[in-house]
Amino acid sequence: MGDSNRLTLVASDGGKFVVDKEVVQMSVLLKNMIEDLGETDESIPIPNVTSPVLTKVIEFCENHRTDAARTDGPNVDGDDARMRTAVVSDWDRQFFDVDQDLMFEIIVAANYLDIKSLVDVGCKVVADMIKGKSPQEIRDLFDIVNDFSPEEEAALRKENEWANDR
Amino acid sequence: MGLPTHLRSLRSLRDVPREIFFEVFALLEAKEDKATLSSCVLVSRLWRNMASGYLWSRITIRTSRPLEDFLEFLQRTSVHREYIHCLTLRGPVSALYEELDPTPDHLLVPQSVTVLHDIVLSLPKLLHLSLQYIDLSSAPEHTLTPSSPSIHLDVLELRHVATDCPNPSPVAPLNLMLRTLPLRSLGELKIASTDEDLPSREPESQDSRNTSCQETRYDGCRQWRCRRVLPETQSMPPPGILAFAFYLRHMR
Repeated sequence: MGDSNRLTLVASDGGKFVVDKEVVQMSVLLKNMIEDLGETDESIPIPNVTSPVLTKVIEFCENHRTDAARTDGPNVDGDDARMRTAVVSDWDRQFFDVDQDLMFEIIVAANYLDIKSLVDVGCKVVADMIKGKSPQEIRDLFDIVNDFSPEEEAALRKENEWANDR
Repeated sequence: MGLPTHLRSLRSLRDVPREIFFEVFALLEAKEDKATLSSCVLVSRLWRNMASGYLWSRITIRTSRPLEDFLEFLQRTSVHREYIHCLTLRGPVSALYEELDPTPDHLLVPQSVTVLHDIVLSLPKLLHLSLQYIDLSSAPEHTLTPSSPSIHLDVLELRHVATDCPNPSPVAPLNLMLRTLPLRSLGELKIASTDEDLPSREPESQDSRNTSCQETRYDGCRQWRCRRVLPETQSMPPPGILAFAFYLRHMR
């Protein structure tokens, strides 16, 4: 160690990852933590994230490190709207081409670590997965139990007609 | 496939924080993907609770159905009223309007101003109201008093709203609207019409700190924007926005 530009992250299962500080700082949580700690050689434990998930998170951050300058910019009004309509890049799509458990693990870890760009991409991938699907298809996709009675479901469908009146 | 059990922190989808799903629904909402959002609220009770606000926040009602039915629906289901903050009421021919006939009065569906008034009052979160291609000709005189309940709107948009005012003028629908909508204050007024008789420009307000008007092109139509129509302290609305500011002050 001793390289002040690199840090060691320790996953919940003990896996160690030596990562560029610049990459680590894409996580707002870790960035604040590093600022609080000051110059230190100590490794940073990430108790909520396992090694396979942390591997993916670091892979994403390494790939997107050059975007960091842009996301650091002032948050202008309407940024959210623009972000929400931007398309997912091929690389990001490929990155999330994993099984569903891991996909949600990555999104939840990104949320915990406060890596906005990764949360955004993950949510877009989920949105694309359910896009155009029927209620039953969404239930099947995520293994969700339908807890509506047939009457309730019929009533809801009727109400939805007003929301869809285009 | 998948992670070994000991490396999983999520036991099921229920462990995924709700804000993740809120973001997913917000993405669908931003794309106005009502079809998918409609599916989402039907998935389960939890999903209904999470997705309903996004499905109902911006609603467009085509007035091929009478507005009475919509009002009746709103009064029957108290939940959805709380979600709607942007409402568009739109006549059925808008897309064809400009191509087919510049004055298709006969295609506008007559609507009751009283019902419109009641709809507005039954939506506590409403901030943006847009009326498009609607005929308010059948409107009976609907008198508001200073003690009538009233709301604030950020935006009121009138596009091709017709009335049978004896002296048809581009501001006639506006005047009718002023006497009818239970408005306490308004952030921005947008009027669009293809009528060439429209006054070319609203005169400058004497007090530009409170009011500013500008004319812009909007979908090939003239449009006026009038920001902050309602001065905090009295006196001199720009004459073009005429009765409006007068009305609003009267209502206060």
